Order: sequence, then C-alpha cells, then structure tokens
Amino acid sequence: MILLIYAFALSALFIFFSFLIEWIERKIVARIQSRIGPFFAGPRGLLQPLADFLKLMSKEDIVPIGADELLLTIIPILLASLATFVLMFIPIFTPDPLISYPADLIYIIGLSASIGALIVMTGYINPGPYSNVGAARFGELFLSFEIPFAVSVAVPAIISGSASIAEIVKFQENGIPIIVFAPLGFILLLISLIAKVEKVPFDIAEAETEIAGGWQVELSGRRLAFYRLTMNLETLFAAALCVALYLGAGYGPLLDTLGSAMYFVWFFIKLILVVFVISLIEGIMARLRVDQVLRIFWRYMVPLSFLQLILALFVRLIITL
Amino acid sequence: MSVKIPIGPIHPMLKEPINFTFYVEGETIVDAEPNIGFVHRGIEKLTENKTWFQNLYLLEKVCGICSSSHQGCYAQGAEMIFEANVPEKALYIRTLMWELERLHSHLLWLGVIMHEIGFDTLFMYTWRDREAVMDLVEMISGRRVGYSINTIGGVRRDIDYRMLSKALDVANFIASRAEFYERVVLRERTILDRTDGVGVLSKVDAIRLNTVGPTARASGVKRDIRYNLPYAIYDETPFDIVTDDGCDVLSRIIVRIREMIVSAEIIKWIVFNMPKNGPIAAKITHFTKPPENEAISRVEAPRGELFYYIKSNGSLKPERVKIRTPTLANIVSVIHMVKGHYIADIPPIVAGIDPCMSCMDRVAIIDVRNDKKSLFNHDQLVRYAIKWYKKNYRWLREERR
Repeated sequence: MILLIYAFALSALFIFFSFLIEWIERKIVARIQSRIGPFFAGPRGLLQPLADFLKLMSKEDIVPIGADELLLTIIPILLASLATFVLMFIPIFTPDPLISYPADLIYIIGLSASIGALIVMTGYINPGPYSNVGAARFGELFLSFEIPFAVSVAVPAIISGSASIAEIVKFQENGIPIIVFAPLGFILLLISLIAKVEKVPFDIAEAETEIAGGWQVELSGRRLAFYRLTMNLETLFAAALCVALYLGAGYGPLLDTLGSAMYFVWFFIKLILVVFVISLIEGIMARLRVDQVLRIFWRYMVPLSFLQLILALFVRLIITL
Repeated sequence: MSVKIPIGPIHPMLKEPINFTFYVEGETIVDAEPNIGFVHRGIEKLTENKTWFQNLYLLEKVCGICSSSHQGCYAQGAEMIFEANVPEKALYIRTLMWELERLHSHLLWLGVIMHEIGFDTLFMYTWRDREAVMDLVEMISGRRVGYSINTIGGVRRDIDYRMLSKALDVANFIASRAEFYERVVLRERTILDRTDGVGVLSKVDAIRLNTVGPTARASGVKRDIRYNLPYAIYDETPFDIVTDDGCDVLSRIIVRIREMIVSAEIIKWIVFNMPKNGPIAAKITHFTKPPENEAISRVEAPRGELFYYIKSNGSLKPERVKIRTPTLANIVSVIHMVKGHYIADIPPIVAGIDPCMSCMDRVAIIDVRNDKKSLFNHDQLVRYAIKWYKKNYRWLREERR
C-alpha cells in the first residue's frame, strides 16, 4: 500500500518535472531565437506547460469519422502510463530506483519501443493522408533510431558488467562516469534520443509545414493533451537516461558532506545540461528530409554503434584485467 | 499506382489559400495540379467603378507586402495617361519606398522559407531585422503596411533629413545582416541539405515557362525590369543585376539575399543624391479629366515583374485596369519543379517562388456535382450574368424590401 502511494507521488513528481523540463526547453529555444518565451502563466511563465495541458483537457472531445474510438481512448492513457512507468526504473531522486531488478535495462528498451509502436498505431487508426504519412514516417524513423539506441544503452551495461540501471549507477559511484570510457556511445545515445522525442532536425514525423503535424493531426482535446504529456515524459526519460547511464547519475563533488539531497541536485544539474544540448540543437538546425534522416542513421549511426560495441568489449577487458 | 494528396486551401505550409493536388508514389511526386480561385476579390472590375484617385487606395490592397509596387505601378501608368510631368524628387521618394519594400519583402520571404524547412531560429532573426525597415517605413509614410505614399503625378509626403539619415542607418544595418545570412546559409549543413539541388528549374525552362523576378534570376536569366526597361530613376541608379546559376532553391535564397545588399546600395545612393528642394507632385486634381489613352506600366516588384494595362475613355474613371502579378507568372513553374521530388520538398519549392496567392487569383467555375472545372471568357460571363439576373431579379427585389 505504501509502495502504491509512493508510486503515485513519484508519478506526480515526474509529471511536474516533465513540465519543468518543457518550460526550460521552451525558454532556451526562445532565447536562442531572441524571443521571450512563456511569460504570463506563473512566475516567468513557469506554469505555461501546465496551463497548456489544462486548456487542452478542457477542450471539446472530437473523434474523427472513421477512427476507432475505443483504441483512441485507450492508447493515449496507455502511452502516458507507459512513459511514467518507464521513468520508475531510473534513479532520479535516490540512487535506488523504485523498481529495480537484474536486467531491467532490457525491459526499458522494450517499453520504450512499445511507446514508439503505439505512436505508429495512432497514426494509422486515424483516417486521412497526413496522419498515415506521419505514421509511416515515424515507423521509418523508429526502425532507424532503435538500433543505435539499443546498442548505446547496452554499452554501459557491457562496461559495468551489469544489465541493471541501479548497478550501472553504482558503478559510477567512484566519480568516473561511463562517458569517459565510451564518449562515442553517449553521442549516439543523444542523437537517437533526439530522434525518439521528435525534435529538430529529426522531427520528420510531425513536420508541421510538410504534413501538418503528421500522426498528431487528427488528435484534439484530452487525447492530444495526453500525447503531449507523453512526449514531455519521454523528453524527461531521454535526458534522465543519458544522465543515469553515461554522465555518472547524481554522483559528484560535495556528496559526502551534504548527504543524499545533493545526489538529486547533481542529477538535476546534469539533466538540465542534457536538455540544454537538445534545445541548442533544436535551435540551430533545420529539419532534415526523410531520406536524409535514414541515410544518417543507416550509413553512419548504425556502423558506428557496432564499432562502439566492439570498443566497449575492449574497455571491459581492460577494466577486468 | 499513385496516391492523391490534397494540400490546401488550408495547410500550415501555405500562408494563403491555394489548392494543390499532388500525385505521389511512396514519397515521390509524379504529378501535381494547382487549383487557384479561393480568394478572388474582383478588384479589376471594382476599379472601373472608382475614380482615378480612389483606385490608388484600392490597388495597394491587391497585395499587403508589395503595396507600394502596386500603387506605384498604377500611378506610373496613370501618369502616362494624364501625360503628367512628374517632379524628380517624387521619383526619388517613390524609388526609395520601392527599394525599402524590396528589403522587407525579401527579409520576410527569407524567414518564411526557413520556417518551411524547419529552421525557426533564422525565421525569428529575419523578422526581427525586418522591424528596422518597418519602423523606417512607418516614419516616412505613417503606416507600416499600405503606405499610400504615391499619388498620380508624384508622392503625397515629403521626406526630411531625419528620415534620410535613418534610411542610411537601416541600409547599412540590413546590408551587414544580409552578409551574415549569406554566410549562415552557405555554411549550415542542414540548410544546404534541404535546399541544394531541390526544385531545379533549368535556364531553358525558366525562359520557356515565362518565370519572372528572383525565380528567373536564380536560374541565370537576366530578367529584371529595373535593368531591362528602366523606369523612374533606375536608369541613373548604379546597380548590378543579381543572377545565380544554381537553378535550385538555394540559389533563390542566395539571389534574394544578394539583392538585399544591392537594394541597400541603391538606398544609399538615393539618400546621397536626393534633390534638396522642389515640388513632390504634379498638379493633377480629382476633377482633372484625362485624355482618351492607354498605357502599359511595368515595375519590378519584390516578387518579379508587375504588369499593369490601363485604359482611359476620357472620363473620371478608368475604363479597364488589367493586372498581371508575378505569382501568376511563376506558379506554373512550381508544377514543373516538384516533379520527381519528395513530399518534404514541397514546402521549400512552393515557398521558393515567394507566392502571393490573393494577388494573382482568378475565377474558375467549379461544378461540384460533376467534378468539372471551366473558365469563362468575357462573352460567356456577360451571358451568364444576364441569365442569372433574369432568373433571380424578382427574388433580389424582394430581398431589398
């Protein structure tokens, strides 16, 4: 029972942090583009993501003619809960995540892949060419980024010798983050995560000016609110995964003197750093075309991820010697 | 088998309503079909009911961005009809406004094309820089859009040294920014990926399809009315025609950026050579009757050649005003350009000609039941109108009561 309450509280915290991350990202992109960004809701527009969410929730509920209403009701809820659930494996607040067992990394890869599959499904259950083209494009993107993503998630597991996130985080306790052993893996993970959260230059599946929002185009009201929440949670998940696997989680200086609160502070600082990099890339690049994205992933990212896999084995060999 | 993808009249890619039907195989476009006529406003007909001077303010509403080009082109044609001697200072002020308009139009377009390829940062930057021009235009004419500075026989407002010194500042500022944009566009990998080799229109095709303006110049065609048939003071202004041999969207960007630099140079020249004193308008009043006459007036608007045919029957109202805007000349080339490209290339190619749909709109009769489309010629239109009024006259009369 206590565990359940704890899980609920944690979910609320995740949603809060995902809104915070969205605000930070919007502010950074706005500053890059010499705009102000969110300003009116709350202090410095801090509550703007929440206001957007609530506004969408209060909108009229429209189901497009020809769409499967039951699926359209289930999938958004399923997506948001999956995205929250997958975050429970990551030790954001304490070194011990809520759920942890040996080889949970594989489970995480599976869960995040099912989020992508559900998004493709959303595009196809809605009628209309834009929705279907968007779904097809997300499918292509999904097949491309999933291999570098899975491999670059596996690399820390190989180096630390454990397929559990908690164990990988403990491996970095001594102050040396895994990025030192595998910088290439971190870059691969970051790029494939940008594709995963559909940010520029890989936002081909929503591409507002080309296909009018892609798989999201037919969604509105509460359903769209849940999809947006899912994307926010995914962004938080992506950044948190980078920090937990490669950037040494919450470990850093002053941890011994200030205690476990410092763990979260360090984690959060690193989280913002990753979000800053993602926002910077979003600010200074144009959207690529589908064929260019596929070329980047299949010609460069996939071979590089295999190279990183081999390098990781050597690193592991040297560490164990 | 090809799939039909309708784009427009409402789509985020398009700022104004037009409908394209693209036939795609996978992601590749095999054919396309434009369908115009969503915002036809009947302005040409309306000009026949208004006096020569009222038309000045009607015709600048043909296009919001190139309002001064439209008004100036009409005023220029009307001056030919009135056989007026336009003072030199008026021509200088008019040309200054035309060049300022070219600056802010090209900046706006640069933002739009960057937005189309997903580069929103440059969109924000160019629109911020555009504000400098808009402020200057507001300072000179009192309005940001639709300056109403032209009149038949000259201009309506004089210009003073404060405006001239600010014009100099703005020209220097925009020239430096244009150089920065050129550097960004030529170095940023993602922009090059999206625009280089996209929407190729060879020089032969550009001439064959009668493209005008920057679209033609980006295909290496030296087609610029300022250069070919100098009007106003362009025969004195030193400037080079900007062309590029890339023939793709990238060279359209480059041509427009370089034209901004050239425009800035022209503005600087105008500021230094502006006559100090003198009248700004010839004496033509609302009640001056023109002789029976006809005139063709051509102006290089920011989007390309703007063509006005004006006919007078000696009364206070023109008998006919015919407008050919640059977008109508260029829209056919879009169909040629998109073939063989991806769906993702549609926005940069369509935006690449700087389309202004409502300027160019024509009427087409669409029979929804039979899915047929036909165009009316003048006689058919008159016959249709007579038939319609005979049928609906009683109903109309009752409505009025």
